[in-house]
Amino acid sequence: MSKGVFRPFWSLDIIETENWLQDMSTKGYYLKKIEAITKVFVFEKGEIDKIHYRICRHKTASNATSQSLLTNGWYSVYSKGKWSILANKNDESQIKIHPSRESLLNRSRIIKYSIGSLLAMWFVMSLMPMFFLAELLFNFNNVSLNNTYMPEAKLSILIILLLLILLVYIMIKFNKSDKKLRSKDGLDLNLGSRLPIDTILDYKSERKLREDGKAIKKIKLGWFYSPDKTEEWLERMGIKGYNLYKMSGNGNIFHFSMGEPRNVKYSLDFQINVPDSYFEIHKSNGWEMVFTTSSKFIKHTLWEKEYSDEKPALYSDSSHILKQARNQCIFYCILFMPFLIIYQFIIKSNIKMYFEGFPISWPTLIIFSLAIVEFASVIIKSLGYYLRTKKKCS
Amino acid sequence: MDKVFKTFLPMTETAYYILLSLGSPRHGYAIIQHVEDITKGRIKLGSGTVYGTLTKLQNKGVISIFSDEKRRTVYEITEIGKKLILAEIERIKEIYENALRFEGEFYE
Repeated sequence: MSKGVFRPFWSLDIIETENWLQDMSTKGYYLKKIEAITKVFVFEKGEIDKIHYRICRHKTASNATSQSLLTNGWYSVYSKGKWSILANKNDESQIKIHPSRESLLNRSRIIKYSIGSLLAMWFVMSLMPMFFLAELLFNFNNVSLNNTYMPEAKLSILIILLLLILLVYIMIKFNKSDKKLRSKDGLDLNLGSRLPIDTILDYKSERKLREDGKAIKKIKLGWFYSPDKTEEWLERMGIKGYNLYKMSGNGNIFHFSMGEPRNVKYSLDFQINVPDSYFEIHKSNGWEMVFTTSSKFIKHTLWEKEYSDEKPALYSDSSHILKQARNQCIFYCILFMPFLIIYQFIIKSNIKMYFEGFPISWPTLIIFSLAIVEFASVIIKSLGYYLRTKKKCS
Repeated sequence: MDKVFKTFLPMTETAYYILLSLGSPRHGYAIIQHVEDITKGRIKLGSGTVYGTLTKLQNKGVISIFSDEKRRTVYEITEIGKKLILAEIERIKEIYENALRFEGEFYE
């Protein structure tokens, strides 16, 4: 006897779905398959048993279950494309190893980032037109106008709003699901930055230290984009006895305390869409994280390692260093080039209008010019870094 | 399969030694240690290099990962990976045999 259950949003909250599958197994229903199009979970009635389920996502479509997982009692009940569902009949205490959650977290990061960018873009482009349209259609001010005209336009506004609410709902759902995945199975990584000074200073004593000349504060902007220069600067500071002990949340302020000269190797690393295993492998290899950007998607992370004789390196071969520099350069070029082109076009046409005698908005012009300068400086810095690295490697 | 072979063969020394150390499943740090041991300290892999290589191998289905009791990531070779490293070992055997066969010609 089989039973089908419709569950359209099963992949939004993985843990909830897994718990539900386990509940079903305690009632004697075993998962047979998932109808991909109709999103119906098909169960078969059998003996009552408690089965642990894990929903997995693989990086490639060929997803033969790993040998270690098989020997620990895991078996595949369903697999399609990059998805598969593994089950284990053993008691929870006997299950030593689990399928990794990394690909699931990766997937939700990409989806969240895409929705976020889409919403931001929509917000910027259509805020003003939406206001005008809403005022025109729903007629807040002028009651005398016939407000029943253009029902299709009203409907489309409603549809757009519903779509937006749905997107925001998906984002929130993914966020919750990620938190659950992390707290249940994720590695307990202390991702916060570390303070080499044992006592955490309050604002006043920190200021006193600075006044006594025992600590200094340096402000530096845009340092992520030329890692080689930043690393050299920090290493020189270390040799002079300035120990980096704190950075501001956005990374623009470096706090140093005066102490013994130290040999510290710094490494500033650029990555897109970073899994937890990235932090795990560096930390277990003796690197300490000094700073990481708050974006979950575009990560610049500053690592440090103290050494006595041989200088350590995050990258032991030059081909990887060069690849990193190239990736960063390509990424920022693709990200900022379209804006540069559009903005300079807007500025040009504005200036043309000004000379033809039309009124133009100066604040907008200034904002666009500043944006151009900032984006161009990021591209130039990344390009410079790539060219210097290339020269060094060849 | 052929695509994987084309991407990775011949292997870089880094990729070869990382894959060679996955005869049994290992943590990232254990891979670095093992490679240093078997090359008697000649190769000290940087964790960034290892992370980059492992990510690439994983994306092509050569290795897979799972979580251990302490929720740490463990890397394991897949069936495709086993075929890949064996093909590379065959190639290196040939290089080695030819090295022995012809090295005499270069001694004074």
